[in-house]
Amino acid sequence: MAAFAYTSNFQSLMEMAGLLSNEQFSSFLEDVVFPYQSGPERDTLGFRVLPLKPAFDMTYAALQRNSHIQIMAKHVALDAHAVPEPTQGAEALEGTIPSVATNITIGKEDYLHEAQLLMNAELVGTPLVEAAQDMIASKLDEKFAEHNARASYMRDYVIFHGKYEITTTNNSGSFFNVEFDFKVPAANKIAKTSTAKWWTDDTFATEGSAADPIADIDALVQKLEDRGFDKSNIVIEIGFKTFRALCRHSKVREAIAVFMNPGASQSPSLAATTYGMSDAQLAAQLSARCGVEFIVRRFVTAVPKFDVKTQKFVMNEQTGFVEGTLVARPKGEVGEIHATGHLMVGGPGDSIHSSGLYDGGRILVDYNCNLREKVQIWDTEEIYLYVLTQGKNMAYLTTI
Amino acid sequence: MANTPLQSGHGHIYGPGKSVKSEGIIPVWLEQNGSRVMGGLIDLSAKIDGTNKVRAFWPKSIRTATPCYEGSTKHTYIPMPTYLVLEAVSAEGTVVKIAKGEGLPLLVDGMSLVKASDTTKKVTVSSANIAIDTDGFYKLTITANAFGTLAAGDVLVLETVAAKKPLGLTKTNLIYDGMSEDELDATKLNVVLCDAGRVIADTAPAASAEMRAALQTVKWEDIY
Repeated sequence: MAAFAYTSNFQSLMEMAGLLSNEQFSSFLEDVVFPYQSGPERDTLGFRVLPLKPAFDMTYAALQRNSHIQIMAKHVALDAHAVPEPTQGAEALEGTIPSVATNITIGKEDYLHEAQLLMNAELVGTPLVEAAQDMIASKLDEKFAEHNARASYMRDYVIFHGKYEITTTNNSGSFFNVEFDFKVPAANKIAKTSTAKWWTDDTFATEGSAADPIADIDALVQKLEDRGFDKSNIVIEIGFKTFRALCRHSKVREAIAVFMNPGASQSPSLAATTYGMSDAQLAAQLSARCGVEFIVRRFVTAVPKFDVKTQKFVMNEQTGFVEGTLVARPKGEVGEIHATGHLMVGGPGDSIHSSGLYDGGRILVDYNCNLREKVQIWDTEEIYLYVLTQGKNMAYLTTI
Repeated sequence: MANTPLQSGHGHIYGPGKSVKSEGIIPVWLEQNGSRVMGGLIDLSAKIDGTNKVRAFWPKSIRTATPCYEGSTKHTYIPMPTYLVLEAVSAEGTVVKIAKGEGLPLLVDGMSLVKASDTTKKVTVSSANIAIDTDGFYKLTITANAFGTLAAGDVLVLETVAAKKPLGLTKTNLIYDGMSEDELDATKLNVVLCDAGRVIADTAPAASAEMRAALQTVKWEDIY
């Protein structure tokens, strides 16, 4: 009976799936797992994906643009040489690119369950190789989704902070206290205080009595206009809760009422004339009034943390964007994604070890099977950093 | 691979038709140093303290990395109930908050608890003195100063009836590890044991400083 053979002979899942060589494993990752993607896609909005660097070079170097304003060539006398110019357009950013890793471990007990499932699949007509490949693909896909989540989080974090920080909160259980600062000038940051805050609480329940969101947004956009950007080339990024509350802010409703109908009556109230409008209509009018596009950020991820009191893992929700903060940035690219390739250690692959590359070599997957312990492990690794090269052309507004 | 990290869960879930609500996998072991060579039995009907059976403390499952010691019969093992104190208790305090979770030992009516580091004061637990907080942890009512003072992180252990020494405190030598197969009607568990490796201090069952000292080849690491 076939079933007996599988349980009496320890066959690794990779062996069952017919994926023993590095080449077979890499092809499987690219051809089967990559199109499989079930989780959220990786967000690279505003960042240029650079070609992979060599595996041995885990450093990045990028140019920080100092100013949007172009210097011009100078007139000289007929026989004269050109006057030396400073290279004011750039400043170097450099550092080490951090790595991200996950793993899947299957012990003997789990393996027996997996093997049983595979045998059942075979009994109902699914070829063993196909069933085993599907099982491996679904397991790895979950891990690649975790990689994508970290990347999308990093993207928002870099945009909303002007730097990337690895902390005990966003990297619980691993290393922390690491910072990549992309040098947003302090002068580009506006913080509303006291009654001028748009809301006096972080639940957006109470409006600041002296709040004037429209004027503040104008001032924020002006920070970039003063550096030579046209409004049509400026976008504002904002968290989804803040944007929803902003559209419903009484001062914004008043401004929209006047914008849509310059002769609007002050009585009973200007804001009242917009009560029939949906959030989407308010958002469109707000964008039209301010003359810039709003990009609403929504990606929420989580970092598990063990709570001794409840003896459960608590999913600490994390967003790379910051509610209450608006970021004005140039439209288009504001940064680059620096990433390295991977060293493939080992031979051509066998029943106890195989390496494969995923997503054009972006992620390395190492498979190990310990025959003595009957434990199978897949390790995934990726080395990359979202580098903000337009830090000096970013402007920030903190409203709560 | 010289060192083998294991997929670890709540340990072995046993018993006929037991419905166990799983909270998902709780990783406990970081690695085991290849020393999973010892095996034996845990008799669920054995009386740990002369009165209460093993099954009374662990009615459904035993979390992996629960401290054990070898009983008087070779290859029979006795798991040791340990209880983590969650918040400090002053000499005047009358409520002790104790961690409770899947695979951790229950507080059992009639059992006697002592502080692992100070065995002179004991508290006899009665079901009337046990309450469960909405967050899921125990609230054990005691008379003031019954334990002296307690600090968060202190470990309470079972006291034996005969000897005035907490059960197994100086005999700790093994750690329980998960089973490889389920049994339908378990009265005795086949267990696999490990005495060398690294465990996650937060998720592993509480182990007092005395137990850790007795198990020098195991490291408890703070991860979360």
